[in-house]
Amino acid sequence: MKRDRFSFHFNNLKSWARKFATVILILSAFFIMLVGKSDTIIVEKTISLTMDVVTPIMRVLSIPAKAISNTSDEIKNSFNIKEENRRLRIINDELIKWKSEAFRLRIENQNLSDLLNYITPPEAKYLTAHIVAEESGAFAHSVIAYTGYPNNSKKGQAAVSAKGLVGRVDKVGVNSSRVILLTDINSRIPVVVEETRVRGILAGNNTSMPNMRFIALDSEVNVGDRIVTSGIAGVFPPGIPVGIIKSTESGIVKVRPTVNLDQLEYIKIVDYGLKGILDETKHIITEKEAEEDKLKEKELEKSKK
Amino acid sequence: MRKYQNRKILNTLKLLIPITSTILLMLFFLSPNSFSFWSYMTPSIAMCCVYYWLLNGPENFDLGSVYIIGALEDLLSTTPLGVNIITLLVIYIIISNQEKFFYRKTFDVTWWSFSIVAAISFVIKWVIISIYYQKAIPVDLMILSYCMTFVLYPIIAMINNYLKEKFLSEI
Repeated sequence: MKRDRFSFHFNNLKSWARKFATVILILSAFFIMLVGKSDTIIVEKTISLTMDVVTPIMRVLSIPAKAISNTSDEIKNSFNIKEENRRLRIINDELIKWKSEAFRLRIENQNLSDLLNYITPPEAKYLTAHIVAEESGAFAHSVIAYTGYPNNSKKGQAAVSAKGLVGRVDKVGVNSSRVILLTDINSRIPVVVEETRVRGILAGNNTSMPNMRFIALDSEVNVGDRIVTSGIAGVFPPGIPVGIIKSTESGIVKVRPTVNLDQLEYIKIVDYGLKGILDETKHIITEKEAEEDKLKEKELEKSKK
Repeated sequence: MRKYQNRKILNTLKLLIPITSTILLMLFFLSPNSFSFWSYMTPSIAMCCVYYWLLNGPENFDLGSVYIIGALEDLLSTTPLGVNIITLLVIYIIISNQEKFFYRKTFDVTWWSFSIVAAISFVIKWVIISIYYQKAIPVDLMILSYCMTFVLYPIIAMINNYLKEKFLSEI
């Protein structure tokens, strides 16, 4: 009798749960959104784990996609091979002139540095990574890069290509990293106009042309000006090419990135030895690292005594 | 006995085909390519697959499958977590509440119905993300993504239909 009543209640509960399952799941999605906004360690680790699981599959799946795009590229290139050859000859002639100029300037720079007793900053370390997934469109602009194991990239580091800045590392996994592109709505990069030294923030807006914001009212900003990183906030070093000002209509400064973000194949994640927001990741330390820190502290105390 | 057990395992694996194929298609379309036009009109493959399987194989594709796919899309994307879950659950709610309208219709009707369902999902996604960032997301790019999703639906449906006929018809 008791058993019957129990099964009756259980079945009732089951049918109730089935009825409201969709509502419960939608509420749980909103809860996940709130948890995600706080950027907790659990969220960070879950995303990294998903990236690590998915990256090997993506590497296999990208083979046919790459083959298709390579074939289309070859067809496209074969049509304008003569034009391309002519263009490259002109660029080559110009580069030869610049090469001799660069040699002269390097020697001059060296001599002046010696005179001023200037200490050169440490050289940057590069980590080349292969893009295995890209996301773009109306809602987000990011890429997942296969870095290999061990992954030496860190959150906040700059991702660059041969032409300039691509974005910054957002999530780091065991063998992959997620990079937020500079066109993404979450991207904010301190920049400066190369010639006039007008400072601002390059804010992504999920379109191909991010806006330069927080510029002083009386500042001079012209179409065609080059934008480079300012180095403020200590995340990116100054002088990395970012883009060119495309329009300044009704006070909105639109910048076209120097890098073609739609056709990225490889990126370089750069460790300039700068900390900046990287310090924020200090709370994500493993137990082993915590133990090592404690041991170091104890040793320091002993040595003081 | 062993043969029976093997068949049972095989049948169980076959039941996972809808969710597995959806995940693989999603990942395939995330692969980088050199078509610059593509990046501004990224289709929502998850939407196409969820719509197809909810209509053509709901016994192997339930609420849990929809949730898992939405969660995976969220984890791989930089959009706010939970947005894609909600977007896909909206499709589930529409289809489960309008069963009579959706089931056993010709492909043309399901395709045009998809255009309405996808439009509702895209608008909801746009509203949630805009509220989240407190800033309106560009509508033109969203319309392009929506158009691409609509155009690609027959291809996705064809692939899924092939998988269904090949593996799920015997069970």
